[in-house]
Amino acid sequence: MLVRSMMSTGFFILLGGALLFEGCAKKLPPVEVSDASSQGTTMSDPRLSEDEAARRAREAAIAERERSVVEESMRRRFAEQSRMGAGGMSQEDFTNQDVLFAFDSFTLSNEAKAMLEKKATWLAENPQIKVQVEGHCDERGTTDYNLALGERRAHAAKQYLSALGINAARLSTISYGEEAPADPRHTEDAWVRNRRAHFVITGQ
Amino acid sequence: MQNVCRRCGSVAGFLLFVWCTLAVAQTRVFIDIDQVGGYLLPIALPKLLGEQIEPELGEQIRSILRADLEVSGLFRIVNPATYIDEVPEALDQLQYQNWSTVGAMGVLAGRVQRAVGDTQLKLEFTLHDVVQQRPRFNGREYIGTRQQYREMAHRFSDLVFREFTGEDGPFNTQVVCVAPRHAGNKAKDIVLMDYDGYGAQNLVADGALNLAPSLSPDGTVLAYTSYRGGSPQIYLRHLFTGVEERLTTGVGLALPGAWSADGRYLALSQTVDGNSDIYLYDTRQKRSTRLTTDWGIDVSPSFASDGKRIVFTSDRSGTPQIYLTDINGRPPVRLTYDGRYNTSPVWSPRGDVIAFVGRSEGQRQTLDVYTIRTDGSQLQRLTNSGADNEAPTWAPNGRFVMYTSARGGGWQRRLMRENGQGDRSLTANGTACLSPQWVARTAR
Repeated sequence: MLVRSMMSTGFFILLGGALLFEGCAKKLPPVEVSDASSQGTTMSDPRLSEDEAARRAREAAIAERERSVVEESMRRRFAEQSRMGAGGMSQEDFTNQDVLFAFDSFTLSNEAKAMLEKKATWLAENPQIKVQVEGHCDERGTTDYNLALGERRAHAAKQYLSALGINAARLSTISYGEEAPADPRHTEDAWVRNRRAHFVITGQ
Repeated sequence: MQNVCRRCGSVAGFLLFVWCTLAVAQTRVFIDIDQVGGYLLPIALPKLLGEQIEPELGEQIRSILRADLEVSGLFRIVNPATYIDEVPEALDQLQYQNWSTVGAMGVLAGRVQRAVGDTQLKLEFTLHDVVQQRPRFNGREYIGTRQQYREMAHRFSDLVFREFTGEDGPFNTQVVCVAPRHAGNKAKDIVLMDYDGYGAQNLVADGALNLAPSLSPDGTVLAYTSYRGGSPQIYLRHLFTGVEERLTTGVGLALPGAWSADGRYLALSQTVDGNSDIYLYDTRQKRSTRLTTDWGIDVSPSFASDGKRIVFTSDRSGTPQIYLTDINGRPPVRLTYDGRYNTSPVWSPRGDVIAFVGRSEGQRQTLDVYTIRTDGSQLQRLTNSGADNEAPTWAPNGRFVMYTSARGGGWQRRLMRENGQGDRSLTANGTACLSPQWVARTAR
């Protein structure tokens, strides 16, 4: 799904370029195989064998290496673009402009993808920055389910940025469900604004 | 019973009259709580003896009794302005004809007294059956501190409820809730209050966002989610010792769902790598097992009273629906097929009925409280107010459902019988109360 959506937006060109570019990237330091994929200690899952865990760690390491290569290539291209005055995004825009979702959905619309691509550009241009993606919901819906849905929205945004080449280690997620609306009104307008992934800079 | 007598009167045969009087004299006033209907048993609630010495207290105690009985949707208080008699000095010596004249079938006669150097309070009550013309039981005495008058009154209300319905009363109970602070402040507190909203006390009020409280059946351990550590994780607070432990240590969302009736297990949901599943935490072995593995959202587990079966919400079908599983992780079975949004299931303490929140289709799509049997039959919509109604929780006796409603603007707490009748507001007083969990009062 992610590959298809990237192709639809022309990003495959970048990605393809990056993969070709990998040939000359031998100077990159080896990626640390620490647990980039695991998110701290979680509850034991007896169905996850140690082999499986090792395999996942290996895959994560490979994915991680690919991403840093992609990110590097994006960075160059965007640096070039911004020298040429191609449209970018200010830090203010980056944190103020939310990615919006339909009711009871964490699917990324074309608008949402376009917004995330702009954000990916900015993140590639500002490689020192770390962000937290907040997932939010409108007030319609139940508390627990909305918290889980907000988590999915944040995760979807993170996954897309990551697929665009942004290092996942720079992106954390959190869900606020319906607990922190951007617009406290009880109107259709407010609900549209509140179903969002919001970006907060957590470190640079 | 009154109806029987009126019919007797119209026949006017002397023998029939005698038979009828005997029949009435032998019949106890009783409410069949399973009966569908709006019949309200008329009860007189005259001034308590001793109200002259303690006018405010007496008045307040009567208003507690009145609110309890009326909110149950089973009783009505006969208008005190119509009373032609008072409570006699000897509480068990009532002039019954004076109360049947005003249409009462029961009379609550009480006395309030100071005890033990004015710091203690003594309440005495007798419940009279006007039809049988005798007290239903010998007088009851309640002694406590002055601060405990509300609890003492609720206890007597429970007794009246039990006398007339044969079941445990729902009045001497409490709710654990999430209390928002002022608008624009993300912080939320966990509070405990009487079911009617009085006597609120903070359980967690540290300025962090705290959510989803679930109190263990013995009232000693509060499970809840807090954002204080940077991500929404489950904490267990031991209320007597104040000791607190963080139960989940991931970074993904973790929410407590419900305790098993024996207090051994806490069913919860936790998100790992973006996927929310149901887990079971065993307080004895201090470890968790995973019950669901689906890639969809699995959230909001609730226990059957047998401590084995579990109901939860999942969007594995593409829309959120209600599913059944058990503590061994039996493959989930889908329960709801009507509508595209069914969440927040809570298992009735009385048996195989689930209350949940469903999105009602139609021109104005609102969230409403529904019930369904665990075999999928008898889907019933309980609320229909034109505004969202959510967060259902069962009374400990399983006869009432409390929920929150957005009608009239902000969120109010409401109460209805298990069939949706007798729907009433509970927010005339007290702190705002979201995500209520209705619990028995435990000594604290």
